[in-house]
Amino acid sequence: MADHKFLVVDDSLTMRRIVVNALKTLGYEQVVEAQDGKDAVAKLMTESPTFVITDWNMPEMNGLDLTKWIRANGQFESIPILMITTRGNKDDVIEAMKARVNNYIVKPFTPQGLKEKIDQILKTTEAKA
Amino acid sequence: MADSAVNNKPASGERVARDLVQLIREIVPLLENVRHSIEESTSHIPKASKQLSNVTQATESATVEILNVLESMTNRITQAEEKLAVVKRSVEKTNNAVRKLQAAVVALPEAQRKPFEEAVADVNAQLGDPGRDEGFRLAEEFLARTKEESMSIAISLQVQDITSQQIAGVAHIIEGVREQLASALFRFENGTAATDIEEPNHFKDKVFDTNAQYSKSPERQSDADEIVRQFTNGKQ
Repeated sequence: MADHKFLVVDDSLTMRRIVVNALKTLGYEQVVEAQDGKDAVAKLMTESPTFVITDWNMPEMNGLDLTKWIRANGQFESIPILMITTRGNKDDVIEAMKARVNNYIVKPFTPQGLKEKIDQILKTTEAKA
Repeated sequence: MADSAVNNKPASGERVARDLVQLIREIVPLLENVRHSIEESTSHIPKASKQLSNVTQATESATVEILNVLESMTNRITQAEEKLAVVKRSVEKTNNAVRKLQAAVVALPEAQRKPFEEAVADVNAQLGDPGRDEGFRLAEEFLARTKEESMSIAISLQVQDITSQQIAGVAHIIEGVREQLASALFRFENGTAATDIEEPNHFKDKVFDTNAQYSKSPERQSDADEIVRQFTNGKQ
């Protein structure tokens, strides 16, 4: 658990704080933040996170484009990605899954829901590794 | 024209022209009123947009302040939990030491036992307080619940992000109305742009979801989970 380093990407300062607090409550102490996809790309290079949690609607580079960038970039393509967004339409979820996010949470999230998704993703990705 | 209709007589050209002039005389101030109303409405929109932006900023600042307090509370609770655990361990160690002492006292010659037995009885009277274990349990439970509740408050503050997206959506609609009114005004002014109307840009950089909603109903998440299951062949 302690080995994972999370990158939390959201243009809302309050959302970033809430997600970071929730992660710390779950025992994940290593967390870095980015305010949009472009910032996240820079943090991927410098901070070497092992798990990305991203919003969808953001300026500069949105969460969907960030996901596509990560999956197209050999160095980072296997990083687990969890999308947390207000976009709850089925078409949105399908689009995100096609872009290869590992799981999807519709805001508002609960700590229990966040834990379940992280556990599911880690179980699947660690089994593959 | 009304008279000619009543008399069933064709209107003369002169009469028609006179009626037309009269109509134009009546329409011109009416159009001026319309133009004035559009100009006034258009000029109010930047203020409305600015007020919406102020609401978003104020709620964000307040939310950050609440989060700061909650974080500070959570940190203090964690410290209290750690201190309580230290005290609990210390009491357990003391209990063990007293038990060893009791065993040693029993081994002493009877004449030497009395003062030791009294001392052990005093310590036991303190440590053997039946409320002690219950006290620890209650304190641990109280701290854990307070921590959980402060987390619930923090989680509920997601409403700020969601409502700010809804407000940005409204501001976007208002901006669309302003653009249309400005375009109508532009035509009134014979193609001269009304330069004194400030263009609002308070939400220019805000990316938002017009369908954002603060709902704790599990349906939207269940629908998303179902799609995720289909894509992952039930592995997630």
